[in-house]
Amino acid sequence: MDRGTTEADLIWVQAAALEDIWEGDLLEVDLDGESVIIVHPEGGKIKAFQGICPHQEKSLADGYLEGNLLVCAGHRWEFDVSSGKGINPMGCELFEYLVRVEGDLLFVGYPRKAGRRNFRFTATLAGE
Amino acid sequence: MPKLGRTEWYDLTRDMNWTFSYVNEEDVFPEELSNGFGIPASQWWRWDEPYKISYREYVHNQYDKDNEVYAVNAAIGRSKLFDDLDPGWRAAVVAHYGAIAVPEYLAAIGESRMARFGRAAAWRNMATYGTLDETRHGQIQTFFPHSLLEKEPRFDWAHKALHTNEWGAIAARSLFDDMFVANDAVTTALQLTFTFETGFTNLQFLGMAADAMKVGDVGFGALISSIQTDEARHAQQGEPTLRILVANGKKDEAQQMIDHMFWRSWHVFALLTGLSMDYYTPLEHRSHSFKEFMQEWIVKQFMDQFRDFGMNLPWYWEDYFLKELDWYHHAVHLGVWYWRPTVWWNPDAGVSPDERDWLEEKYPGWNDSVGKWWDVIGDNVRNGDFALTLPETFPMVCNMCQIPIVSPAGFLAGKVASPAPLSVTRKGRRYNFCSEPCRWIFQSNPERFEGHLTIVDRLLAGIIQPPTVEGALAYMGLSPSEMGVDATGYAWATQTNHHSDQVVNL
Repeated sequence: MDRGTTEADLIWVQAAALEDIWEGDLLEVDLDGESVIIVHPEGGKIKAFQGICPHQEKSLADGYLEGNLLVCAGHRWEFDVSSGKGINPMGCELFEYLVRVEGDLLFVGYPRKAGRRNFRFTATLAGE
Repeated sequence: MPKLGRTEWYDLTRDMNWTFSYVNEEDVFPEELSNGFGIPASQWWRWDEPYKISYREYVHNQYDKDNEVYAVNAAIGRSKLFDDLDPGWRAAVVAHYGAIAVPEYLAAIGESRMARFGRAAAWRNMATYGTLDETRHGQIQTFFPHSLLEKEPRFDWAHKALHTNEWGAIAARSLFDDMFVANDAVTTALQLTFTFETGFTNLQFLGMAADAMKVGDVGFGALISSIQTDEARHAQQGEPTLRILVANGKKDEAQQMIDHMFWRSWHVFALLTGLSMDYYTPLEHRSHSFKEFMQEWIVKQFMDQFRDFGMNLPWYWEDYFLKELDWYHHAVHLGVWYWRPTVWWNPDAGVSPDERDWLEEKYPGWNDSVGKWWDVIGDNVRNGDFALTLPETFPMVCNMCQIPIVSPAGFLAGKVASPAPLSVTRKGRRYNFCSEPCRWIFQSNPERFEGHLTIVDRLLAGIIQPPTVEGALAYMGLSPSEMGVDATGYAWATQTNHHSDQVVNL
């Protein structure tokens, strides 16, 4: 569990029915007040990330998914949903939630202790 | 041949910085064109933009984007979609084109100045795309309205407005001249790209795009969201420039530039976007109020950004800016509607009983402040006293934002300490201001602004002849058929309340 949490620190929330998130689809859900995007890349695993873009907080659900490439509709920032890392710009990252399938339902887990679940990204200087 | 990853070639192809040996730095980057604030060249070379693009990718993307929007435009031209649009919405679109299309060309001047006088190769590269972007935006936003001229003759003002002395055009020119036509490259990066494009253009271009799609104006929605994808790329010039200024001890100078341009941008967008969102967009299609858009996209985003960059909120944030969110654009709307012959669009009063309910819900206290004036205007319309709803005199105009001074409305709403205008006397001339921040901008750099004449200054100086309302309208380039009229033929004044079925105020 790479988010610095153990199972006991997580709150699991039922986020969607599996039939609502087909391969190639993305879906925005509200997770106790935070926007979360669930992605299901073709032939890949279902994942969940912060629902707003690290650039200017536009909803990533308005964007599109092509293979593992997620493109924000606001200003075309690109992310690799297999890792959550930015392709362009590089160096940025989406906060990733844990997901669990139980029967036909998808659950998303988030850390119990408060902390930022929406990463932001701004310019850095070369050599920093 | 295997394709190299972007990081393996990008910096090499983008960066061509070198130390000058035949010429002085000051000769290459004169301060008037590029104020480097004494920061050494090697520091500027650390400039790096987050979102990267090659020229080949740029051309490919722009070609696709143009194909998409021109196809939509061609389809709209053949359909009846535009004919069925709400008259209030048309007002919003006609106002947009006049205020924005030609300034996009002007922005190409600012971008090309940064493409030559930006102090790092990476920056000049990004500004070159910016120059091409703004040229494209000027072209499509004059071409699209042109192709709808048969359906809406007022689209002529997409090209005409900025070539006239109409008061709104003077306000737009004054803002954009200050921001990028007559500005050095470094200050332009902070004022145009960081302050104006990163925040405010989202409001008009993404916010209005959302409303356009709801209203059914697919052409306008597709056009402005296509523009915004360019905007964010070249808006990136602001962040690295700000980082370099802050890292080199120039935070106070940067803060001054941002505080100055944030305020000026706010006033012009309150006029343009505020009226469009809260009065011109049909009630059933409004997604958020202007204040809600401002809170979500400007207040929150700027606060996050200021924190990210270690900047302070502008000094006027709590006492002036946040307070104006509640009343300023309502007062400006009242003035624009009353002086409607002086604008190139047909202002929609937007105060039918249902719309007033919405305004009161979104802006508690609306009925008790500006609503009272609308009560009187409504009575005059219903009594057939149309002459009483039209201007016979001129308003006072702010010597900074060039928008009529509406502080009495702020006073009535309990948000401003005094209804009187603020003034400064300098070299025997009196300058009037609508607000403390407008006066502060003037006093921070009086030599830059003291020569400018507002539309009313021109009247008093004898430049406008004859010095009457008719003379002023002619000076502003408005023939009788071009002057604005109420968008709905006063339908709002006799509409009944949807919920109660009662006739209100008849």
